[in-house]
Amino acid sequence: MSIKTSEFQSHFARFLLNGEHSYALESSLKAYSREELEARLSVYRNNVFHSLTDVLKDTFPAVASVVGEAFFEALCVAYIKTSPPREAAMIHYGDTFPGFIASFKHARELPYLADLAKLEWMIHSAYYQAEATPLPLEHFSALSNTDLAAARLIFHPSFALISSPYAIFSIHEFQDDDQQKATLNYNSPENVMVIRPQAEVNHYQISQTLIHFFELLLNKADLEKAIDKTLDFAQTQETEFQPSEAIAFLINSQSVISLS
Amino acid sequence: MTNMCSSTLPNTCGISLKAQHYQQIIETLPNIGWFEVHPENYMCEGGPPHRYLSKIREHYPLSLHGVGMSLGSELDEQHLAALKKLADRYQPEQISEHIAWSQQGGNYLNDLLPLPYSDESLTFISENIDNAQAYLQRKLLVENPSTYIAFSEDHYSEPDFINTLCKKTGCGILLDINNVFVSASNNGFDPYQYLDEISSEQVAEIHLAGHSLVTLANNTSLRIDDHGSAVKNEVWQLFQYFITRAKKAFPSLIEWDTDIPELSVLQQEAEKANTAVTKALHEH
Repeated sequence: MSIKTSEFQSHFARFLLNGEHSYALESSLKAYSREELEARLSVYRNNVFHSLTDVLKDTFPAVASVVGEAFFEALCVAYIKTSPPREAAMIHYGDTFPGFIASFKHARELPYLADLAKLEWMIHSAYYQAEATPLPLEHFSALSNTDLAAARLIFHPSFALISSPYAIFSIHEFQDDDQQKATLNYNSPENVMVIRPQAEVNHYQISQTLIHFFELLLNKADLEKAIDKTLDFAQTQETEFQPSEAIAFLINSQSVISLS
Repeated sequence: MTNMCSSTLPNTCGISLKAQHYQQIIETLPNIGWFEVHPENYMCEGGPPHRYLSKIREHYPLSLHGVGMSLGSELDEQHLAALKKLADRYQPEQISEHIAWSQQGGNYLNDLLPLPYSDESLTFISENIDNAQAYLQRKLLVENPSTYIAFSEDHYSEPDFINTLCKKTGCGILLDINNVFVSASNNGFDPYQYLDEISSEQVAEIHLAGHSLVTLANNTSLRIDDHGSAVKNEVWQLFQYFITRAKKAFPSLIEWDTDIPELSVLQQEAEKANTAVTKALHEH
């Protein structure tokens, strides 16, 4: 071989990602007929694109289902070319996929798609997040009202929130149900809370008031301050806010792991 | 080379551990010799993969079979550190990788790409194996890849290249007999001669898997190593030939990564391998 292996590898990688042929690549390989050379090289190229598309499909099944196979493949090919994986463990691949979808011109008519992808990435990340033991109800009931009011909640590492102007919870829920999808109002705002306390990832649709409250708590507001601010917020929204129910929901969903 | 794990894999047939079968394995503890996983699927903080693997590890020997180290290009220290963390946690009986590359310029192409068998390749892949073994503080097994293309000049045949790597680095061999057959068929060499040449005393594990056959436009056939079906007859024959020639059994593994069947199908394939070994050893 007339070139160094590292040069061959950079030519081969360029061919794999962009289909770029080069004299250096071809002269490193055995002399095949044009047709056979193309066919042999394309085995590698297909392996790269198919395997990475499968990785993305496993992580973003609702996006794949909503857009259909052909569109999803085209979307993945464009993404893989722009942002190939930067680490060997493929479970980490796809973190920039939602942002890519947002800027993908062919997806402009599907404005909810990027948020749907964000939700799926959150679910995927929650699955692999660190373990932690949720705080049991008894721990809360043992506290005095003063202590409880001053408490800051520490959330489970897998706890995450997303707020969208689109019906991402419903789209995700009905990804395989064409009938439900057909009657869905995609432009109805929805908020989702994701949590994996045990082996299963749970996701809940939550109200605008609840997400406001949880965001305050996530940003380390103490319970009393978060409740006060959320009550004010509920008033401006002309909705109800029941602090005890909200806290019970956090405890029951096993979202809190300690208090500080 | 120090091997922190004193036990070794049993000389029987194991299977690849797949997420679909986690629950069933924990509940029924089936009679399977050992399990192998891709460590890359466990390079995460927590979650079900670790929950299940920890439980399964309590009952079975384990091998970590990497696909992302890219021994044929540049090692990534972060990746090695993640692998070391898993090795420390699960104390696997064996760790293996491929003679291939997947990383170039920081991009990971998720495929096992071919390496020319030149003096230059031999030098840098040896250095990578030395460094990986030093970092992990244990012996690595290296696996022959399946290839779809040949280079204009190779200084070594593949078995010669691998035998030389073992001598230079003290690594062992994971002999993938399906890959031998696939590469031999795709690149026109004799798979039996390959098995005659490979240093059987360095072989510490065997892989068996299925592959598919495609016909190119000019009527050339290519065999594709897709791990999506039962082991082919030709591969069983090569397996028996190798066992008879080596006069011993090895830890062997049924790999099945796409179109994954019921656990019982994998168990039947593993039983078939065990029977083939018994037969091959009696023949002698």
